[in-house]
Amino acid sequence: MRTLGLSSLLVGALLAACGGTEDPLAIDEAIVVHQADFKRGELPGAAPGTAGLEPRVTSYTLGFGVLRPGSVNAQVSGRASQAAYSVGLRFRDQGSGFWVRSVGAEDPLIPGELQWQLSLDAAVDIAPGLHELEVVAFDVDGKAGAKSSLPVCVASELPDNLNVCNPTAQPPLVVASLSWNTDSDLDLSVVAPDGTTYGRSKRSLLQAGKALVRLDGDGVSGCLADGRRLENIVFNEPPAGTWRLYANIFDACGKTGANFTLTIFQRRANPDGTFALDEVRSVDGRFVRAQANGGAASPLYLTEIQF
Amino acid sequence: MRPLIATYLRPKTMKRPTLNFVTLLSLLSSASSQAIAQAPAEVEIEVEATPPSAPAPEVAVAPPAPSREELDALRAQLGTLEQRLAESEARQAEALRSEQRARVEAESARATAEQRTLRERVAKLGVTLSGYVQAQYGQSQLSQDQLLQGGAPLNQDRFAIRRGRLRLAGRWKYARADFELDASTTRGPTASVRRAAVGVLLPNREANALPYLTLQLGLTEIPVGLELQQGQDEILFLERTTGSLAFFSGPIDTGVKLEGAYGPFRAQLAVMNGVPLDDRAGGPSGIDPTRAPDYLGRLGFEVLPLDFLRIAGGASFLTGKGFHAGSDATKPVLQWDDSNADGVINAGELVAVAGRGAIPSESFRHWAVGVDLDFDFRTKLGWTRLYGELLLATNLDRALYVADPISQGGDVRQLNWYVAAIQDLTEWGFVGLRYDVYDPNSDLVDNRRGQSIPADASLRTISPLVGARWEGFGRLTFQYDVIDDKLARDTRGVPTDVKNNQWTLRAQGQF
Repeated sequence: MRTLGLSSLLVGALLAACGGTEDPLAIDEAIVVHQADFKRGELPGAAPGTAGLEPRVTSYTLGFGVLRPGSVNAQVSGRASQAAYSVGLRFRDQGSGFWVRSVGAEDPLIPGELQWQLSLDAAVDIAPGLHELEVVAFDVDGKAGAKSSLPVCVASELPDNLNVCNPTAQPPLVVASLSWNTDSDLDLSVVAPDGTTYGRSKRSLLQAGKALVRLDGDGVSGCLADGRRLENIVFNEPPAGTWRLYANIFDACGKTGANFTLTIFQRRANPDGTFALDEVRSVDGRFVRAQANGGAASPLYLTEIQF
Repeated sequence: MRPLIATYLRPKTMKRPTLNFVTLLSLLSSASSQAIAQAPAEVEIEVEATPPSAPAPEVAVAPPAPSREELDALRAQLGTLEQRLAESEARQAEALRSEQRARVEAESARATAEQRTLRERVAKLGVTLSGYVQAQYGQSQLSQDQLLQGGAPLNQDRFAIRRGRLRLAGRWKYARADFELDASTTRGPTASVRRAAVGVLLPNREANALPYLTLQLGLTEIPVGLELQQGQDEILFLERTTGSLAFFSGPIDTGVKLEGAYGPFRAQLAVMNGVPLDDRAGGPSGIDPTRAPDYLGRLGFEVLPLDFLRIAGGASFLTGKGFHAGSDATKPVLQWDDSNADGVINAGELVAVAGRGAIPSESFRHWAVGVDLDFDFRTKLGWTRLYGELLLATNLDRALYVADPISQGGDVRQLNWYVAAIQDLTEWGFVGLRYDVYDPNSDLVDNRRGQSIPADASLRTISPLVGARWEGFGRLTFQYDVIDDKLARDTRGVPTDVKNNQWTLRAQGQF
């Protein structure tokens, strides 16, 4: 008996040492769901449309039209059948696992169905494009029912008019995109053929209410970290001539400087009526802290585009 | 000294010398007589070998060939000489070694004497200087190469100086003083005070017995339970139990403490700030936000009925006030809630948040009672120690699941208990095992499918350890912590164990 007792203790300790659920934070995943637990692997459950399996996700809706990289608190809510204890969710082709959260109380308007709601954050580096968002319900034994799925458009950081999700949507003629690697305040600007500078002070060239050329935002403005470190100048219908692109470090924001890349994307029209944005050129460089000038000095010339 | 025969047979020139038999005999005879006469004194005979260019001396008349008896005698003589030579060399080498050994010992003794003299001189003033360093490497299954919001690293796989302590202790007949500094890298390089207290005492009539009464004022140990009062350099388990760490982020607090000992009885009573100084230096500041102090103490006993048996135990209590921080006044702000995640401000997405006045802070009562028991007995293997402790508390978690009845809507009850065993393996090693349970909220309720059901949030830790010690210098300890908790959820949404076991290898050096 004594030997058995010691053995049991040792085996118990070993089992406990090997047990446990791994990686509860998973902050490097494509999406992070609030107040939910992360499990590695494919989402369990039968293929969407399989009939007669319990528990079921009876309905679900997205609280957003497009999921933007880095967006927070995007809502997904729905109902599940009475046998459900929890629901799981993942993008079929993104990340390395799925998220699980307990279902809530019965829906007072639809008796017999339990409510659930998930709030998710999208990773900054989530792949743009159309992705299937799958959900499934689990019963009291942890057994999954049939999966449901909906296509979700994950937008690009580039202002491409959602061409990444809908290839028939026409993107801008050219996009100049400046990205950098620290939370320093960098500015992208362009000098038009007539000598006008478009940048953080004068953001767009308008004609009949339409932006022919525009700057889409001021990245890390006033040293306020935005998680993007990105500025784009969009050329929809630019006047002909030579457009010169410049970058400047407005404020190093306490950093030693920043490495930057300017990438030029150009619209390509395909014979089948679809479009794409192709990278045609890129320029790399570095600003050091001593170059920060608050906009007082001349910016650094990077390249030019001929229209 | 060079070997006699070897010297003769090894000429300074590179070529083998040519010697005739008569020369050899005469040299042997001469050498043997000198060796016998002078042994075991050092003997050295320089014999020049005949240069290769010089012709061997001519002998006009060849001598008669030696008889076999003569050759045998010569060989025997040669053997004797070689033996004596070897003995002589061995004696000389041994003498040299002894001399070196004696010199080293003399130097060491002189250094020790100087050191002792210094220590004795300081000790005469009643002051002792001591200290220790705990360097360790640990790994946790929770480690990730990521930062938490705010920048705290998730990685726990690292080398660290857990404690580096320097102590000054003054002990006089009616007074005492303690001052201890800590330098560590547990939360980044930092140095801080760990103990600073002055006291008066009423000494015991018996030598080596605890004083009848000791009154201390300053930063000193919290007199609750067993493990909280064990010295950080003496406790063999690498950290205190989970519950103890939750109740007391450090084993010291500032206040006044009265200790008494009479025969087997022990008593400790203290009035302290109620804000333990975090043992992991660099933590939150220990400034007391409440006027009311904590009252705490322990009544116990300690008996040694046999030479090989010691029994101790006691009951502890703590009562005082905890603190719920209010909030500052705020200005009105405009917030944008991108509820449809389109990156554009739409109707209904701008929210005006009105300014609010300051919310006052509140204090609340916290208390704890506990018992502890400790058996020590000695066997041929060494000392065996079995001990355990139980502490019931309300609103006392101040570090892990911070109990706040103001925000939680009611008192939060906690339970902490553990049993531990330490077995010496001769004077050089030890093994141990500890099982501790901490329930941070005995009234926890979980919400499942819209229904509230009782839940268990207990953390159970099994900590086996093994170590080696070198008395007076330090020890090396390896501890593995198997942690069983309810911090994750399975696919049903039911709380389950998270993978967060950890191990630590710690080397402690002391002086």
